[in-house]
Amino acid sequence: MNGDDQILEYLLKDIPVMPPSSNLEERIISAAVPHAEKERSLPFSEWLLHLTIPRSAYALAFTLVLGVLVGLAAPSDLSVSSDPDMIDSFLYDDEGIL
Amino acid sequence: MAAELNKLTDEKLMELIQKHHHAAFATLVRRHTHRFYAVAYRSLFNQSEAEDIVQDAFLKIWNKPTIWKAGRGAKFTTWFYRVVVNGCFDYDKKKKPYLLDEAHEIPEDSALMAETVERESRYGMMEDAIRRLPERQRIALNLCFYEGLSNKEAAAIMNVNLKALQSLIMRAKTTLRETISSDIGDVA
Repeated sequence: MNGDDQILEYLLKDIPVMPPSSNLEERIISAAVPHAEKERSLPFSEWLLHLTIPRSAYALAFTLVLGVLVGLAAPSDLSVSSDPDMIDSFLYDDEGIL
Repeated sequence: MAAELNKLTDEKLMELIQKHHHAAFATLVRRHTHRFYAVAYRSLFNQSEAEDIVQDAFLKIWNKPTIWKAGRGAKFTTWFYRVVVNGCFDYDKKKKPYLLDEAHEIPEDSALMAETVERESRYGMMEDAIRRLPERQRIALNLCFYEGLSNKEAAAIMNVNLKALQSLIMRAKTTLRETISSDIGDVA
């Protein structure tokens, strides 16, 4: 090794490494807590708070409820009632019983 | 439990990590964080970015431990150097402009200030010179010079052949000598 290399190596070795944060190791370790463990430790109230329902699901549920309400409120003209004449009209045609 | 884990080799710890053994992961992190932080720091010269790279590298092996293939005969550290070095390469692609960080803050005491200014300017000059090197030259220098790895190991980590690695180191040293001599005079 010649003198130039020695000077260069001396200068290179002289560069300090700024120490990492004191809690770097613990930060890495805690960032890697198993996912299952994180989920398990979540109480129900917390889980409920974090529960998010997508807007499309709200729209679908609302449409279904509206449909049921409209169905219940509408006059049941098409329903097969217990009226015997109505039943007869299904069972008979002009030429007699089916 | 921790004492028993401390006796295990890195490779054995990795086998446990593959079974989601969190204490084994903690042992590995405590064993190697400083070493790999130094590698990242000497590539980026920024504390928080070097910390992020080391954290990402460790979390990668926790979240996807199967990326470590046991039985190929490779040492964990050699393989993990590659993970960290790749992290540095990725970071370099989206590099931010150079900023003077806290390491170079200058104290107010006048005697200390003169000494610090001289030392800091020397550090700063060397850091700048290394920072200006192409990333592959910088990493090659880092692995061989600072980490003390053999050329063969460094070549394997950088995924280049031996001749290419030697060429990278030679060019890095030549560039540094030229830069230094132009900055402070007769070094070369």
